[in-house]
Amino acid sequence: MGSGGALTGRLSRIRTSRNSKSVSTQKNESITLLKHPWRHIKPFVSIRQSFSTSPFNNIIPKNIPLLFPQMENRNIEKLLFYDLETTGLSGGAGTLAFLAGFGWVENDRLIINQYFLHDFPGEIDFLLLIKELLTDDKILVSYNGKSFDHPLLRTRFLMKGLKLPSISEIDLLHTSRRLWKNRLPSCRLGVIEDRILDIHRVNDIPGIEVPDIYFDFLKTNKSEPLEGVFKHHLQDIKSLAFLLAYINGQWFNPFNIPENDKTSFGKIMLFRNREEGLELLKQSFLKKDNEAGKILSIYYKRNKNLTAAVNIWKEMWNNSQELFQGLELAKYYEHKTKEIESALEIVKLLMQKENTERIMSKLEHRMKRLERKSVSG
Amino acid sequence: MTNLKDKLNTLSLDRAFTDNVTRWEKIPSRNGKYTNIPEKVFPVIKETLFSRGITQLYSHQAESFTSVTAGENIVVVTPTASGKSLCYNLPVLQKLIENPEERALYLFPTKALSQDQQSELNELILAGEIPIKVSTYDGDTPASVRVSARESGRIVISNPDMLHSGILPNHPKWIKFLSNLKYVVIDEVHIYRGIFGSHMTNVIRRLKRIANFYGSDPVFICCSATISNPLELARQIVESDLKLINKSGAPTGEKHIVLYNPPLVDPVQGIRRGVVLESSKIATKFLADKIKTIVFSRSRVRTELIASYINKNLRNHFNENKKIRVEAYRGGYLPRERRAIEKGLRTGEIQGVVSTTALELGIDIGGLDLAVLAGFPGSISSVWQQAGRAGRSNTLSAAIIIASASPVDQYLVKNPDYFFGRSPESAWINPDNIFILLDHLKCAVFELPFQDTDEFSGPVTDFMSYLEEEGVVRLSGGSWYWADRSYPAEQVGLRSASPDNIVIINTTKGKNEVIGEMDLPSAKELLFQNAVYIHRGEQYLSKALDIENKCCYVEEADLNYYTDSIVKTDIKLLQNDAEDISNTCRTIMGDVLVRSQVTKYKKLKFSTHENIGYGDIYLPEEEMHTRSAVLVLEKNTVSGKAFALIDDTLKEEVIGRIGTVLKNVAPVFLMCDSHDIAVAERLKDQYTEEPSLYFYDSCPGGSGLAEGFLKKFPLILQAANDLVSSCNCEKGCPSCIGPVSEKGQEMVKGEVSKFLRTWLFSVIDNSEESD
Repeated sequence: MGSGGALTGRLSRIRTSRNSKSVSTQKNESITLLKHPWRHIKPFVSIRQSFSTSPFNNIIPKNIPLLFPQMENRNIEKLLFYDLETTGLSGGAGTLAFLAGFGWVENDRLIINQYFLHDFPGEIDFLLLIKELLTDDKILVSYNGKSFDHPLLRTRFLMKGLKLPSISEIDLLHTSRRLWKNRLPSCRLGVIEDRILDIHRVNDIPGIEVPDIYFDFLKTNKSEPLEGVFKHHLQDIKSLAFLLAYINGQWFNPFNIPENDKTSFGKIMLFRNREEGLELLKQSFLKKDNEAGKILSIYYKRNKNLTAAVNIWKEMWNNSQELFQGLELAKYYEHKTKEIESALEIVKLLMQKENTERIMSKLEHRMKRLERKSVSG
Repeated sequence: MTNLKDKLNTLSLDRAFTDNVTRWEKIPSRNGKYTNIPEKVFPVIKETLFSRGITQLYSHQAESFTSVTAGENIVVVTPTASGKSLCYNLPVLQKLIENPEERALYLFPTKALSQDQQSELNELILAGEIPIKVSTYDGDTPASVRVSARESGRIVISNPDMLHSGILPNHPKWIKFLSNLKYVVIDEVHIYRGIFGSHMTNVIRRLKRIANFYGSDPVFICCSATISNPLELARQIVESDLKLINKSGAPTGEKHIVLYNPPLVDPVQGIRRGVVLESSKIATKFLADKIKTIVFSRSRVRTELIASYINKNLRNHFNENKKIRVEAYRGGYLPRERRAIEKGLRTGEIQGVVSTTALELGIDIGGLDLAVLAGFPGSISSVWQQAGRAGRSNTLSAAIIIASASPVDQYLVKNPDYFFGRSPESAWINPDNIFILLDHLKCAVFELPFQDTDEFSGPVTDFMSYLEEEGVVRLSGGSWYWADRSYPAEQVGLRSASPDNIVIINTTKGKNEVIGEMDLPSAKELLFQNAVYIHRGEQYLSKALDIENKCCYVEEADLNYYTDSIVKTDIKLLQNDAEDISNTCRTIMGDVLVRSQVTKYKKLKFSTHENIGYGDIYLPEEEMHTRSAVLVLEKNTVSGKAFALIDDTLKEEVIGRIGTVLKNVAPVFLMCDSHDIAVAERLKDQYTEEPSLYFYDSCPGGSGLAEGFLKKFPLILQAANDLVSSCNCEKGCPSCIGPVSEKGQEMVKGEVSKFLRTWLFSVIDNSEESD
């Protein structure tokens, strides 16, 4: 094993042999102040407060829990919209947040606090400032926060020996996926803004570039490029508020819901026992929406209204001979009405289509059984 | 098994067989040494042991229990099937029941071993309802189970790769586990040698650092197969003192070990009958009498070949092969297929199996009677592990080891004393390999900032400022922080030195399938444009080596020649760390810069090795910093004087052959592959100005092999001498100094032999004087 001296020698040799891609770092201990309205409040932390109109003007807060059970008995003003900008996108103990934003509604205004970390040693102050906002009566609202921002924050708190209060969270990415997964190319926040909220960003910084902008700032102390990050980050939080307000608005005016969202809204509503859901799904099914038919028929079947379910399956089967309705009908004929031949006919038709191996073997099994019954019957 | 006994008897009278046997060793049976289960073992554990028929412990198990429960680090070295896992399971379960907060981490080098241990541990725990939760945490663990492993796993079974890239970088998620981590089990510690071992030390450094951060300081329990330096290796891996427990109390049945050298077919060129046919033939003899047999072979292709030959030999339509089933078993089979074969072996439905090393470690296949080793598996400890597959605790078993033509095989089969004596092989590592160390320093600073005064192997300041120049860390307020968007552990693999592997793509007839990978320096020597590349027995012709995109396109080919590249190597000694003259030459240990360039290649005809053409290679030079031992045959030393006596026209050839033969036998002592260490011979070296031999580590930064080479040099020299003098060839063959060159220098082998003898005797005299 080499001694420390040999290692130093080795180090200096690879230092000279490597491509000189190294960046010169400015050893500048003083802090670059950010422009107004940023306020420098701790040795390495600045804060900026922004105000805009609340998107929640005319709604009745107490009804939000139908969609978000966490909201039960909480006031809209307890919502805390938040987002982090981080030094890396893969997580892990070496990734930290350098910009954190929290927005809340107060007197019909949306107030957003952004905290900026000037350098690593300030992280403890940065986290303590955040902690002040995170009282346990709050409800966090995020976009993908459940799998990214929240665990990251927990890690940062742990590493500084702090405890992150346990607060419930509404992750709007999950809600968006339930609502729009089938009709949007992706459920990234940017796409939701563009296609649902009618918010169109100009000169926005792609999220992927954010870490490098921060590291460049650390090395050069030039803060201008950060302006784009601040703007991007602020918009993310505003959009969270607008998105929640939008979903809530649809919820209370279900019959204004756009045609192509009726099925997904209807499904959630039905799930939450709201009868408007049934109406929405029926409307969708009238427009030959297969998915709506599926949901409706399963609902009827579960609620022992087999006649209604069968009617839907028959109509669906007439429209297109697909597996779901075919199988349901075959089961119905075989077990309820004992029309073995009708069941057999459907199964044979299904077997002519392209199926996975597993489904194929199930169909084959069913067909053989039906054939036995058909002969013996 | 009277059956096996009779069969061995018959065989021992068969001249056609015994003529090729270089040693038939009968290791007598040995009684077990037992101790009562210690008083303080909890009743719930005792009951479990009773229910599994364990009423007493082997002495080494009891010794382990006493040491670990007293808080001592241990390394246990005992043979296969000696109840090794109880050495750690017993004390760990005891302490975990005693202290309900404490946790243990088990590290196994492979997933198969982890699974095996998990099921063994589960059986133990379920049998007696021991209230300890065991969780496996590896790449296959579903996300839903991971959380419960972290939160409530009292014993977590994982592997070093997962610890390195999954657990340590996310240590805050493991806070509960890590702050109560009390025991770390490192099984199969001898596997952690060379590069893998050098990485392992650094992973353990990181684990200790994080454990300390959370206020814990675990006890280490290591287990090793038999090598000559288990304690030294374990100490290098965990960097703490350990107690060596190496006296096995397990009983063993009588065992026959037979070393078999296939007969020469062509004595002049030193060609022997092939290992595949010989081992198929021998295994068939036993299988035909329904003796349960395992054949180990060194490659997947050979595995399939041997299995098919045996089945062909057994084929008989009239009696359905006497219902004897023989299966092949290797990597690349589906888990389901593998489990079925394992089960068949346990239940006795399958009598024979031909396997690669895939079956070597851990996997339970029940007792077999005979192991046939088709070629030495690369290290003597592997021989014992494979041979240990045959034999239950108190019955007769046998292992027949069939030598291939490779120098190591030929050396061992002709010098069986090495094999039966004290293990000659040691494992070497170099945890301070600068490249490996820097990689782990990146991971470490990602995990937790360094204070300016911190240490990691040594003071961190120099390294951190180096990484700061690279732009990945930042010094602020007296601490070093990771300041890069990447996740460094992702870019560091523990099992190889460089991530820059060349992917080999088969493009025959519009195909586009990846058939393998190779490190860049080797690729330049083996995959240059027009090179004939042999992969799993298939021939391919390299169409293009695209270094920039890290791939090589090959096409299937059917040619009667192979290619051999001519590498020009330039070596510069950069730093002379230590010098001495105890080996009757001057030896230097130091850092070197190796520049190599492949410039030309030869086309050589199969079987005759006749040169049928040349070609040029245009590839950029390869540069590597590594560690090297230098043997300088200085004028005033015995070796130098002996060398001076050689005819000038032969000197260059002779020094080249000396280098070859020393390099050929070195793996026996260094537990490495033959390509892990490289040699360069200089008739007049520019630095030493004398005839010199450089033995350097093929891994950038070194993996401890150059140091190991010097420490073991007298043994290596002895082995080289024994190999050359015992080889039957006339003028040199691939099994000793390499085939004779075209120049027809008949004298070379004689000169090499004479020189090695003189050198060896002077080294022996020298060491006796100094004793």
